[in-house]
Amino acid sequence: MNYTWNWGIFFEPSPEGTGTYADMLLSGLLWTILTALASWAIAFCLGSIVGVMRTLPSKAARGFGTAYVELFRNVPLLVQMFLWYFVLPELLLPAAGAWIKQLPNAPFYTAVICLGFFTAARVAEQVRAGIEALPRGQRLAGTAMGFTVAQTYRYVLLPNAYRIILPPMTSEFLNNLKNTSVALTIGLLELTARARSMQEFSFQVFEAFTAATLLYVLINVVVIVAATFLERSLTIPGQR
Amino acid sequence: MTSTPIPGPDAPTPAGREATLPDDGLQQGPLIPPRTATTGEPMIAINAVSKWYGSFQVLTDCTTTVSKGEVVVVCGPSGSGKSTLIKCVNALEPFQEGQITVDGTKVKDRATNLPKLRSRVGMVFQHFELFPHLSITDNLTLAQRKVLGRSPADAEKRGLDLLARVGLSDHAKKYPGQLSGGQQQRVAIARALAMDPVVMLFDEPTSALDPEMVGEVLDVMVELARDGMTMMVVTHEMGFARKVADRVIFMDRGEIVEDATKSDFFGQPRSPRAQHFLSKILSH
Repeated sequence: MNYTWNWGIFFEPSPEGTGTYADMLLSGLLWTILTALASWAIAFCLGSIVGVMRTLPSKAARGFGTAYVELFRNVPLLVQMFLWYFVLPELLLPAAGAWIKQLPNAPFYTAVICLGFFTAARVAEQVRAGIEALPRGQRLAGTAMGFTVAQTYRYVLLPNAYRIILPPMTSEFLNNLKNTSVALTIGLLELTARARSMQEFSFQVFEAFTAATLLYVLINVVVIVAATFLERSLTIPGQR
Repeated sequence: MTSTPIPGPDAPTPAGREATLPDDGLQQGPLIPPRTATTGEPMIAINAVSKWYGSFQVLTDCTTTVSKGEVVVVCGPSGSGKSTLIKCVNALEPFQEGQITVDGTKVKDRATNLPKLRSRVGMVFQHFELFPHLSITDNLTLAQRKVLGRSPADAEKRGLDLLARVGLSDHAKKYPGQLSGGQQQRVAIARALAMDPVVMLFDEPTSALDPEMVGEVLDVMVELARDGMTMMVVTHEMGFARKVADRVIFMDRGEIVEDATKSDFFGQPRSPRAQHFLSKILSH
């Protein structure tokens, strides 16, 4: 293989004119983190609502929840990304479509919404599983105390369900973080996109993707450590 | 024995109430304010209640009343519908036909505020169902604060007071998982009482307990009965029934087969099914 290693490449100025290649990768990392956090906020809230709906007595609520989950988890993320970015603006009124297309940072907003809705379907399934794992008597006890349905969820079911599903939710968070790389297809300059452009400008493909890989691993380790602390702080005394 | 309830006129004389029980708790005062007037007005009126799961009928035309201050024990073989019946009383289970009235409020009525009704009906479950993520104190105060709107200080005072009455003051800061089954069930009783219910429902409160813990829970229930609480108790503890029940209801296959005073029930049950059940349950 005729390849010239050059680990010093990170400190050479990038052709974009501002800063080095390292700065370029770090700005990509920043966008990755921003996209992951913003989309997780949507996924967590929306997923919790949809997951709760799937456990409600109301048939309409359960039906809506099921439809949501099946729609968003059965269409590939890449296809969803294209649908949100290329197809949706065309379906709206021309003025609204044009406004969306001209938004500054349109790829970022689109990626956040797309990932948020996609991951919400997965979060919803975790939340539903967590609630269904609780003894049936917990719901009865809350109801018998005079709690409304909303209060029973807020004070009794969800605090326990979230504790049960914390480990799989950590996985979902990590998945969501890594899925941000799909957004490079709609032009979001996140970490993978930045590694690719570094490779194209400098031809140092191995250095670029080694750095990207290490950065992904690094933030995932941070997340895992944080989740471990969270889990520890939420442990209930006396529970097995 | 200052707080023995005066049975209503239609309630049978509680003839066989032995005074020899260990009554340590009574020295600390009654669990609930003794009710002065037990006038025999029905606290729970169950009228021709039928319930189906799909095409399977679990309750058939059940009718009975529980007067204020009365203790009614519901027994019967498993699957006879006794748990289902008392869960209908606070609308944890819906029923298709008939009506239940609790303290004058119709259970099956769109106009009824069910959470409010339920907050006045205490319920104790077979598996305790304390909220595992909350400390004992929070278990006792949560519903007082969120349902009754009591201030945290008032709720805590009421909760800890009742915790002392069930003899568990030392455990206020612990979590349910750190207590034994018997202790958890006593907390569950205190939690229900903290809402100042007008009636208490017990759904097999001792069935999930290790044998050595049954006594401590029954002691609390006996005390409560003697303080004049209106109680509907699903249980196999015939000793408890003999001690404090005013009436015994025997159910089989979703029907109320026998609804008799305690002395009649244990003396000469009329139905063969009740006789058969009693012979099995009392023979060991």
